[in-house]
Amino acid sequence: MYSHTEEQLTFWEKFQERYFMNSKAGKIFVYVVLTLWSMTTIFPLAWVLLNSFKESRQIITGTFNIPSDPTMQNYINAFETVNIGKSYLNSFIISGSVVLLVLFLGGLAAFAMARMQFKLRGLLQALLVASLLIPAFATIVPVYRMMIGMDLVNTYLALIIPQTAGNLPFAILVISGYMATIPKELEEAAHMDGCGRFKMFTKVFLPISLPSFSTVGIFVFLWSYNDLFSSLVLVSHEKVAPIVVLLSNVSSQYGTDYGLMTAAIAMTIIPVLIFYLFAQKTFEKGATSGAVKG
Amino acid sequence: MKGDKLYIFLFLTPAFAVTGIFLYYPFVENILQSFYKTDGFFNSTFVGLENYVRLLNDEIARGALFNSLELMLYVTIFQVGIALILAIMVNSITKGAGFFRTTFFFPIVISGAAIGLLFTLIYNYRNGLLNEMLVNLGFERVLWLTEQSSLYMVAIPTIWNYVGFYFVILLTAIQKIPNDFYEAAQLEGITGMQKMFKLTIPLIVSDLKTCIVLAITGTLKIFELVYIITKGGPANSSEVLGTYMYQKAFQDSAMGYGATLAVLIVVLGLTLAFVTNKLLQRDEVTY
Amino acid sequence: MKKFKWSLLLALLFVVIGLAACGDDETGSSTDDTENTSDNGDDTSAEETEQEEVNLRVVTTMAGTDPAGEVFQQVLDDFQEENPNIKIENDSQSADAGTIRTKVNTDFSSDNEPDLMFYFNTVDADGLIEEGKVVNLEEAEGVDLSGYNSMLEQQRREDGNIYAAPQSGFYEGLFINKKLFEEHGVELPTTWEQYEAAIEKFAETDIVPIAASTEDSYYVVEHYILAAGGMENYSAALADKNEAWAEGLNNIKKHADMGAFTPDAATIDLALAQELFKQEQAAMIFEGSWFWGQLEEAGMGEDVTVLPMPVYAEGGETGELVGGASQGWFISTKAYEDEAKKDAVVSLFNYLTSEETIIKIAEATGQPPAKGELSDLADYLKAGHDLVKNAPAVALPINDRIYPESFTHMRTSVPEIVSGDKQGEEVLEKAVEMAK
Repeated sequence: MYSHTEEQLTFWEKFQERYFMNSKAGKIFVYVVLTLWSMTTIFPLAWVLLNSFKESRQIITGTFNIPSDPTMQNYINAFETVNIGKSYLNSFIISGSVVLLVLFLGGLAAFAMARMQFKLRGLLQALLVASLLIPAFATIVPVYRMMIGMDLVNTYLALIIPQTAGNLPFAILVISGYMATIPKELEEAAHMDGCGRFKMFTKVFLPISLPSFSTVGIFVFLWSYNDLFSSLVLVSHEKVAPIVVLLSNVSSQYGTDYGLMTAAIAMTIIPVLIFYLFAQKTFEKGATSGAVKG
Repeated sequence: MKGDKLYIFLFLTPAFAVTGIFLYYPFVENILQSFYKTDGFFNSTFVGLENYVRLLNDEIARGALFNSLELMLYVTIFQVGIALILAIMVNSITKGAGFFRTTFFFPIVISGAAIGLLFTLIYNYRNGLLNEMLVNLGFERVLWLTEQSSLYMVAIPTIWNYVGFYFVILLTAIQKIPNDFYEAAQLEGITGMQKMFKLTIPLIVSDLKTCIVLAITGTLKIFELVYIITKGGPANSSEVLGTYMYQKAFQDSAMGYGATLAVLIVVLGLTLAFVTNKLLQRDEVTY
Repeated sequence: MKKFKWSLLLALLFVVIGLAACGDDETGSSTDDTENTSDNGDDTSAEETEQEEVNLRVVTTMAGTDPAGEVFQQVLDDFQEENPNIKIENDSQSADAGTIRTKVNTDFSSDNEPDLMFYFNTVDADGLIEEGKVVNLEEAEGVDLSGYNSMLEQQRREDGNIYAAPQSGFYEGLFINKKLFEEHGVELPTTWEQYEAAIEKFAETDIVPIAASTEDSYYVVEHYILAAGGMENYSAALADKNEAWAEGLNNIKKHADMGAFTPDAATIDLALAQELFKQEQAAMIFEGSWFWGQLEEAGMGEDVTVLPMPVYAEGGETGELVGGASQGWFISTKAYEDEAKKDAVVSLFNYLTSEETIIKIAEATGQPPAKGELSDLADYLKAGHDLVKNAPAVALPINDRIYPESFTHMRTSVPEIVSGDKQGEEVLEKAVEMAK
């Protein structure tokens, strides 16, 4: 890996510096690369949106064409198949709770993992990595049984609890990775001021780590929100079913309704994008306010 | 610090209690199932290590294992690599940074089902985008998904799909580096590329490590894209552990053997994460 | 400012937790209600049980874009109107998402079974039946099984009992684009020789002879085995290692070498294969009667006809079909033995399996009903229904009756058979071994 120590600049480094970073050409190069990549990422979104205005048949036959005869039928069908308003609300209650629970419990645990010394730390670290690897397929049946046992099937908690459990390891790893690099002086200063551990967490570490909380929040929200498999098993009933369940309704042995599928995907994307923009604002702020003098 | 024991206990218990009950305990049940020949529900015979013996002799599982490892190599290098480059680039510009930060995130938002369908339609032989372009340019159609190419063809969307994820994590990490550092570096005459290698990367190394661990663990679980684009075919040439496990546990009702594959995934991932951690071991930097 | 933000976030946390808890409370109280009613049931015993409120949970695969879904909900609504004391919870989900098996099996093994369900009466139900989780319909009091055609008898299990009452049947066959056959001057394939000739002729043109996925080769495998073995060998047990099965698998390679499939047959899925046929880029496809809905939507119902697979085996006869009814209505033993529910569940069962309901749902799907007959059918649909009526023999698809891993092995090995890496015999051998 790269080291801190001073080294002589190699020829290549000098070359790069002169032609890429400090020159106009360098700036242009950066913008060209970024623009090219953003084109590949905009493409699928545009594809989904355009296709959601086509008939099912056209989606396979002319999927990359502009819709010649745009139709709202797919959206109308989507509104007819499920109670959209209720499904959105369900999604937000479930995924919102998961995000807040994960950030709260995960933040505390991450703080302990990153800033405190104890014997079991290595073991817990390994456990966390291991839990990232457990496939949902391997746990769904026992989890469903537990939910039946607790009489929670088809309630919000049936999905909130296992999703919280599933996302906590990710949150702890990422947040503690971020917290690990916060200067020790801050911790000591806070201690001198008479802060207990909990106060230190809420007053110092949490605000500084806000950007990583937002990042984790975004992904936890996304995964929870897009988790079709667990939703179908644990909260399939219309009363509590989140919006992704719409996606499962697009195919049967009588064929797949690709039009409905793209419309459903378009409708699931929009809230996530809003959430992302919102969270991004937060972490931008956090990033500037949290810029600590070292 | 003094009195930390209590806080360690208080801070860790809730999180580990929840994961313990709803993640580890179900997985322990999964491990137990791997010693049975069972559909998971009504027919269950204890077979000892038979599933593990079968795993050792299962050519498809072996193929899936190597495919997963190969895919992991590409994913770790390219996904994290591209994400790092993009993050550094976006961090270096002022105009339009918000735009790129938003657009790079798009692919993650769209469900795997849609991305899978999109790429299916791109690769399709008769009417796919690539072949339509070739035909319009006067070339012959090409069979994109063959036994030789299928793994690469699923690697492309897999890598591309999640670059935005690591991009967001790394960008967050880069932005936490205090400006003073750059100012100080500038005084010492460190700029440009050098700044990247001497300053930025060392300062985010713990986040990079997290990303690599996430990439390794993530690839082992890859399922949806591969399943939709190639179904692991042709002739199992793009089968990965995730798709094979799904097939055994849910299509073939061979829950016992599926559970054995899940155990393999976890053991393998743990080993790899451990090795990576050892390889990347260095003092973590605090500012 | 910062403080404000945190208090806001905390407040939000509590609100959400509160909401979640409320959601819990709501359902919690509803379960209390049911407990109360069953308590009352004990107190007042037989007296006026009919007026007691009964909650029934029904699980089916008629949901989403399944054309039967809407009609089915309507039927349930009608029933509830007639029986105001019965509340039905329709917990249906599309079988395509693949979670329904897991859900049903877990429900039944965790004492949470639905009262009534429309489920696969195939190898999937073996466990439920062996454990006595579902009712033997012929011995169940009050259950009316009259008026059924031969589809009911097909539901009889090896133990001699009937556990599932069919709704409608299906058939599989060779769907043919008549227009393309005419345009290219090819004879319709009513014999094996004509079938091979058709493949050869179309292979010379730009038209794909058979739209198929060799990985998702359910229907291809079944029909090639039927052609090579006739019904007698087709319905043989897997353990017999029937030679006709291996021969059928090898025939797929023979035809692939003649150019019968598209070059990407190994990686396309069924939906894309169907698309090839619907875009008139392929002349034939092996499909089931549910395919007609898609053809109608594509506006090509009139151009298509369905033929039985030409059988060349000695002792076999062209006209033999893969088909039957693979799904049926099951009553769970738990509901049947619950005095509070028994009458309600039996009367709902009888309502759902009445000729009127069966016809109503069959009209939506166009499938041959298990009772009565559909009127006003389009000619092409009628032709299909006649195929079933005149078939010398009908048997369920192979994958409905053999060990799932074995069939998956056969099906997913087809690309390797086609590429010459494996022989039919080898694949069959391995499949038999897996089932042990």
